[in-house]
Amino acid sequence: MTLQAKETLVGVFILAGLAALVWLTLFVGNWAAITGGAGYRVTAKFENIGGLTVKSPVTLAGVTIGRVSSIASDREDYSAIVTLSIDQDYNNLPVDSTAAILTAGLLGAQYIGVVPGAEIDYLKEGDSIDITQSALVLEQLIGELLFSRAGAQ
Amino acid sequence: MVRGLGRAGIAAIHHTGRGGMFLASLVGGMGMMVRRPRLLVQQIHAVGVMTLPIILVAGLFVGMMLGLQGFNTLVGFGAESSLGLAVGLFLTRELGPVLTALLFAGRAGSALTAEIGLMRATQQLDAMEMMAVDPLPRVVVPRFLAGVIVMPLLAALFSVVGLFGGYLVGAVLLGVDGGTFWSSMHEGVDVVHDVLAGVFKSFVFGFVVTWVAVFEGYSATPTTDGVSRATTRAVVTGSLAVLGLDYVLTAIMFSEV
Amino acid sequence: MLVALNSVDFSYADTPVYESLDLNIPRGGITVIMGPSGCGKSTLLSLIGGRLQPRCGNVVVDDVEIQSLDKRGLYHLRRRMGMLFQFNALLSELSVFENVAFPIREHTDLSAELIEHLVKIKLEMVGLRGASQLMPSELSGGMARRVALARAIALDPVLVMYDEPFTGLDPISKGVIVQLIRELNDALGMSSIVVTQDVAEGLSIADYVFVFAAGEVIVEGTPEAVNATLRPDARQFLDGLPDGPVAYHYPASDYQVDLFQGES
Repeated sequence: MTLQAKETLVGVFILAGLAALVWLTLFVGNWAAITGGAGYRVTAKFENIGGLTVKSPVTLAGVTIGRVSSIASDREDYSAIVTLSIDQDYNNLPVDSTAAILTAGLLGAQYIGVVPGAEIDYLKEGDSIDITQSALVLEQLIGELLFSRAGAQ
Repeated sequence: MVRGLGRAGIAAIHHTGRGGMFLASLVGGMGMMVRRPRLLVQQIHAVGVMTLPIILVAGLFVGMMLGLQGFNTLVGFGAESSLGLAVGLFLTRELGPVLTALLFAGRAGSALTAEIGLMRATQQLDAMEMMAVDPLPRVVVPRFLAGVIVMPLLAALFSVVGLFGGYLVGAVLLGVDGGTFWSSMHEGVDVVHDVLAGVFKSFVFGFVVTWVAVFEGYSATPTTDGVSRATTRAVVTGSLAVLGLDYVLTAIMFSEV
Repeated sequence: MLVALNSVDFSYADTPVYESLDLNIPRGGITVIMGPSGCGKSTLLSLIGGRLQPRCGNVVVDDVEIQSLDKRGLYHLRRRMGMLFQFNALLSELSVFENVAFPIREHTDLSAELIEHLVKIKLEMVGLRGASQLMPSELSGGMARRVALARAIALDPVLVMYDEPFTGLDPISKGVIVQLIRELNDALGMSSIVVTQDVAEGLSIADYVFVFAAGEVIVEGTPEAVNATLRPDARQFLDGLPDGPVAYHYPASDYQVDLFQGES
């Protein structure tokens, strides 16, 4: 093989490799972690978030409308403060909407389900969802079940 | 027995130390590449272009396997719409960088060790020294640099081909919606934590595998037997280093996102 | 003197090779170093080329003490040395032409045209101008040796060292190499050091001969003088006798005892 042919092949190879890298970064992946996603953030307080993690989905009637962007603990009342990052497309959530931590299937991953309220004003950046329902923790449920059984007997 | 272990341990440490010194002198010899880019192009051809077919074929099959296994597992939870996400995460985070590095160690790494080892055994390196040409920048540095440059490119191509393999099986054969496949992938795969972390991994792997390969070749006992043992050692050490480092890097980069 | 070794001590790990060796190689002419295998002939070339360092003593080449040089200085000195390796050591990825051009390309900034001229001249000297586009793997043993020779003289060195130049060649190729070493030495005004264990070729080519045994010079002089020596160890080597001062048997315990002790 002549040197020139080799150089051409090397050129093709490098360009193809770079194209693959560009495709992976631009098309396959998303930049949400850097840009924070094009959307707005609202907070919600929960007694107990169970197994909820950052990046867990936020759904509305089963449709994913955003993700959990951070989780913190409140220093005063020891509850959990969850920040939800919601896509700009869904900026029509009433301010009295409620959020619940749900479980996909019996033992699946946990996510936040939003149920819209009836107010005319919409949630916007920095608002908080006041009515929340904490995660169902299976161990607590079983414990309660056993206690109530024992009480009944 | 104990003494034998001790001696082997000291020998291993000694070998590692020599490898480190060798790496330092490699870095020292890199200036030459600016003046002689042709040497580098030749080696990118030998190391990268020649490894490409095996990478592409392997990537396609691994992607197809992921499509099939992923579908069979996810369909049990009714979550086959996440197939694209599963395939995308597996390939960009783990399988792309790791399998590419392992295949690279077997194909290009062994070839590098054997080539340099044979140059040592047939006194070609000695002849260069006697012709007042330092074989390190002339022979070893271009091969080392080529390996470092080529590995992330190969891994990216592996992942891309694998994604299409997964799409082929998942969407075309098993009937997952094609749009859902790509959108679930785009939704869940993060550029920084998944794609770029994978690229970083493959860069580290390329560095280590090529370093081990050229060092084993350069320090091979100058006999046929010595070269064959050095080649085996290069592949074994390179592969184990990849798997070990993969754990360490994964633990550092993916642990608490 | 072109090369002088002054009370040089050298050993590989725990195997001593030389103990306070003194050796002077004159400028001009062909100096042949002969001796049985393992007597340290090739080591001598490595010491002169600066690839090995003596434990003590010094090596002086062309009025420069090798031990005093740093890597740069050593490489500078080596440009004035050519070396023919025992197995030719041609660069297997390069053609015959590129092999001969290699030292010229690495050390000069000559134009491509001029390099081509120089390489063709060297190849013509060894009769292989027509083979310039072949790869080393396509050459016979004799041709490969001639290419290696052309490469060794590519930069017109002051000193050319030949490590076993006759080994593994058929009689015709041997004759060719003998003639070439003589012609090149005289035509280009170089000095040559030939290390060999081929007695006939060595004596026929030499201006001055050293015979080595076990790291020492046992006989030196003109070929005639060396050939007339009566020292038994030198005679054994020169005449190729299987037994003599160098014993045929590897040291062993008593044969009878060794054979029959298992039965008692």
